[in-house]
Amino acid sequence: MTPAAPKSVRWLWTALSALLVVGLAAYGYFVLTGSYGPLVTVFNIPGSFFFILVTATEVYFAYRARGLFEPAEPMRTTWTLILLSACCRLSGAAFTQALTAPISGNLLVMVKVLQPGRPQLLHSIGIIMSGPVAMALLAAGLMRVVVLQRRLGVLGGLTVLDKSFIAAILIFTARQLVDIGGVLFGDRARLSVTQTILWFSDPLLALLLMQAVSIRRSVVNMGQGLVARCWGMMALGVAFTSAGDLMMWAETHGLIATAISPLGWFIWFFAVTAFASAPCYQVEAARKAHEGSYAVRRMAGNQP
Amino acid sequence: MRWLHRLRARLRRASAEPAPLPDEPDTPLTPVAELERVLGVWTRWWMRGQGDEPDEQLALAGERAEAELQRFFGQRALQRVQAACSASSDGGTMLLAADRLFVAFLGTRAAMALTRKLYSNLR
Repeated sequence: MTPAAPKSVRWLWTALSALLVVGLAAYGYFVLTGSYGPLVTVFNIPGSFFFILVTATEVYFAYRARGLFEPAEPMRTTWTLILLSACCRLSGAAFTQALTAPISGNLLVMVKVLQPGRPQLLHSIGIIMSGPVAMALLAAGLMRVVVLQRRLGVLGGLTVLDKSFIAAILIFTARQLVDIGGVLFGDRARLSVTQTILWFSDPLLALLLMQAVSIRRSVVNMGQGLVARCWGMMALGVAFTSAGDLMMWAETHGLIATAISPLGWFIWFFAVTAFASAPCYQVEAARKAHEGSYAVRRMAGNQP
Repeated sequence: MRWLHRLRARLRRASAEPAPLPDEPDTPLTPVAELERVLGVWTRWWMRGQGDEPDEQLALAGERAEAELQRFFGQRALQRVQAACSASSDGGTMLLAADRLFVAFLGTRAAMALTRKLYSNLR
């Protein structure tokens, strides 16, 4: 018996599918003609709206999920941290995707507060908030989940494959630290505050991935229940974020062909949709708890 | 001596029998009244458990808890809890394990709602 996905989750993934259809059509045009125009338009306008709306949905459902728990309950703090992380990602998305975007629909450009173009400071604040700050809050929240799952005995032991994956993450993080070291000892004059803060993203992402592997293992051990799927979606969001980060790193080092690299940009849409789906499952689980009854006494087949 | 033990147990059961509880109310109970009702059900099960008769009501509540565990946590989680509770033969351990998971991952309010459902229409 696998419970159906809640309506909110179905809506989110349907919206993602619609965006992907448009995005892949623009990508097809890019492959055929070599013109980035339609692709950039898709990412700047419907892409930005999707990013902001889906993250706002996550904030709303994370707020509702937080409200399901009493202040003394451990999961209340967990959902507070996840809510704050979602708020950081929303404000980051607003700064990087909408308010500093060089488009005529930009609110700040319309009210003539900012001139068209990307104001660097707001953009940097947005990147920091949606990057290391959001990741640190999410990592703290997920750590509490891992601890709670371990305490309740639903956190299964890691397999050899899980441990190998964690080892690969650590190697990748070490490789990035080597890159950082190169910049640090090479040309310090080029360093900016934003860049320095953004360096925390990679170790935090490594920590998040390790937590995601543990949570995924517990989800595999649990099955397909609503609560299990909530944390499964959170782990999926972290996995997509890491995949997006890996693609960016590979792109920077010229490891990916130019024709393929725009496909990596789509990963961020999957990440944001997975993160937004997680609190939807939690809210749905609480709703299902209040619904139905065992009115008729039966010994077999006693479903509510 | 065995008949004496049985007689003593029967007399103790009769004297400790709690007052009959009202039927399942149509309107929702207050948390205190709900707690009293559930405690009443538990007390009666415990009394029955003192005798050697199999407890049909406890088994029924256990089955309901298993269905809810499967719905919220999945089939494998249910199997893990069942395996962990298999050492003790009574359904009470299963109910307690399920309740711990419900409170931790769904919150007290949702867990209370589930508890109301699990213990509804039981004697």
